[in-house]
Amino acid sequence: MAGYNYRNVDDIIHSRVRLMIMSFLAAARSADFTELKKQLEVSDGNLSTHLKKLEDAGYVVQSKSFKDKKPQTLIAISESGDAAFKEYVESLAATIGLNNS
Amino acid sequence: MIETQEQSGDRQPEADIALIRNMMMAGRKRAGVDGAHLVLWGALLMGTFLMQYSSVVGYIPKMGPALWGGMMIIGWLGSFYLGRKIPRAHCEHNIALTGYTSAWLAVGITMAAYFITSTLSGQPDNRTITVLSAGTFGSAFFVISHVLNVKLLRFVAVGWWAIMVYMVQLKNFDAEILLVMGFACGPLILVPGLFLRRLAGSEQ
Repeated sequence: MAGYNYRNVDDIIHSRVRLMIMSFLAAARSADFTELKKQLEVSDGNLSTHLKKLEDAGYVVQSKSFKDKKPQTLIAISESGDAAFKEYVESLAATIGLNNS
Repeated sequence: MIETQEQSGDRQPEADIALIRNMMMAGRKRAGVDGAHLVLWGALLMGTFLMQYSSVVGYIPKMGPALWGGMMIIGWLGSFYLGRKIPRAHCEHNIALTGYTSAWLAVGITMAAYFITSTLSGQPDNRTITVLSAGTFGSAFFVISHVLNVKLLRFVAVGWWAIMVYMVQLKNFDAEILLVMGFACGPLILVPGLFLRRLAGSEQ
């Protein structure tokens, strides 16, 4: 099996948790924090840390609101995040010899 | 970089592809857009246009506005039923689903408002309702192609706008137009609905 060439890998997306977040959001487009936590089976702190990195890179956008007087955080994939994710998947497919992802 | 290498030291691209696929499947289910509404309305509109054509040319008895009224009642009841089947949690803060629902709700309200007012005022006009349908369908498909990021639906939007332009410039608006609309509902509503259903259940 072919391994990773780390020079060609997007470090921001490559972390396992961030890759899961980006994969989920690439299809769902948006999700709230609680749902994302449930899907990924990670702790609040862990998820927040990874989301912060993705947000700093401009790959996701977080917005806060209130529902039934409870705070809610909505996370959506950005256009640049979408493009970066597609590029990541394409390079991954190329690594294992797939022409098209 | 250090964190990445530490976390992925024993990772293989094949395993990551599988992980991406699984997460995207979960995300797609979250999006909750499975095209069922399009299949319902596509089939209803196709049937109604073809029945109206048959009625106009005399193959079946004259039906008038009752045909369209009946279709709208069945359509709205069906949409209401399908809407209730989607778990509430899937609808909250779901931009894709909100965009999709709003686009089609706008089409439904526009068509229902025209149908009711034109019938009550005794001035229902086939050309207007056809042009209005084609224009609003095109707009709805354009919006959902963006919110769902399904570029293929932009061609469907262009198809509806082309029909709108064709209808506007027609000198004689005869019964054959109903046939055109009836058959257009197949590739331009029913098929995109089936395509979205396939996409929602796809493992890709």
